Amino acid sequence: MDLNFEITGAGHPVVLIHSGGSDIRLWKLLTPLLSKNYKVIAFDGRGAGKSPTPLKHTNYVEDLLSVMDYLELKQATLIGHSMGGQIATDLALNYPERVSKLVLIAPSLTGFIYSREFEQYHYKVLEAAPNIDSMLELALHSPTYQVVIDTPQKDLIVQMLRHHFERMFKWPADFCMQWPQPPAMERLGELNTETLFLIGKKDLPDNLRVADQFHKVPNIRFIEIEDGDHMIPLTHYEFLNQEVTTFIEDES
Amino acid sequence: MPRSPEENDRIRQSTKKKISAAAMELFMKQGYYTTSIGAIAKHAGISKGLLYNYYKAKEELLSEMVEDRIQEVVGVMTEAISKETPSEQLKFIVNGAIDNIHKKPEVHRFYLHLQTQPEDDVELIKFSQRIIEQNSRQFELQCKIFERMGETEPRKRSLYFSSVLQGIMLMISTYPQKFPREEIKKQIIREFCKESAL
Repeated sequence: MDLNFEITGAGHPVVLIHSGGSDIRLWKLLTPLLSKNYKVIAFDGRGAGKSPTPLKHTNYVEDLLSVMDYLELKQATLIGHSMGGQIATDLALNYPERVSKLVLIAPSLTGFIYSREFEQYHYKVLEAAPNIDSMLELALHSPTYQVVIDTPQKDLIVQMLRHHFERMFKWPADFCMQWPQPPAMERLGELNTETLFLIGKKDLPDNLRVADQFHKVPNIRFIEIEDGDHMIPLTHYEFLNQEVTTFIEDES
Repeated sequence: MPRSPEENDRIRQSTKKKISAAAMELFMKQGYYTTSIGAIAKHAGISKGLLYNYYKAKEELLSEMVEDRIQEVVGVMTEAISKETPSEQLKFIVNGAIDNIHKKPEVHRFYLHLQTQPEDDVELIKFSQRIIEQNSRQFELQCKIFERMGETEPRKRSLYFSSVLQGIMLMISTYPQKFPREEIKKQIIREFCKESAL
């Protein structure tokens, strides 16, 4: 196991899976709250933070499993943000016995076809490569960050994105992600893990459409956050802590 | 983790394109040997360290350019051959070659120069050979066109056609301003395509 991780607190294990373009620091506000009651495990995904550069094929689901195996976690609650939510969903579908409960914060979804607008936004940012300053300017100019941009957490967002772009330049050119097949989108009806789904009302239309897909999950509760963009772990960490704690403690 | 599934691939491709365009410009402007990796990085607006993440040496850049160039030529020939009649095929080759050179005469000059390196230049001679070897492959395909045209001596005719076309290409890249491109295009087509009157 070569990924960088941090463990805080004791109790029922809760694994935090960060989003693409961020790293372990995404959880720096939530972890101190959550670790009062739980053993919180946060880690840097491959190619992010202090974890090594990915090889040609990277399987983030197997990576998450290897973190859990390494720490001998037979079962844990998973909290995933964006692509981290996608990873958590795939893990819960393929290894249901390893997941006690699932918390998804504005997750992406394997098999979901994203809109042209979504693609074009990413494309525009990449066109500015290798000029990281213009890449940052273009990247931040998105509804994804419309709320967080006016909070003290803006600096952290900028730092993480800058770090992400710098690191990404060093990934192999033929890097590609491998996701379990058949894609999760076709299997949401089989997701039997008890799930809490949170999303900001100001998130991108694509992510709101992904949320619609999750209505197929049998045992799921949705929470919409009125003034939330995509970066809920950095803007609504107190609320998140309350909701997650209630959800984990709920025995019904 | 990338922010979207395509992110890494695109970022790498677009950065590579920028580096390669900068290198090409400098190679053409000041020559291969006088261009340093540092100068290429500066011209592309990136750090030298970042450039080394993509290309380990100047030679690697040139090698990739040569391969791209070969693909371009192969592409033109493949499209030409897909045309129905031999005359249309030749017309496509003539128009493709001449219009390309008119658009980027300096690129043609660069590759022409690369093909005529002294034999003892071990670093560059392998690229000369690679281009020449590919050109002769394309020449074989071109001979087939003349065979289909029913020429009695298709190879000789094909060789003559190439000589004329290469001469025109050299003239345009040397005198890009004054060359009567369209007229000469018509002339060579008239001479080699049998149904030119149509």
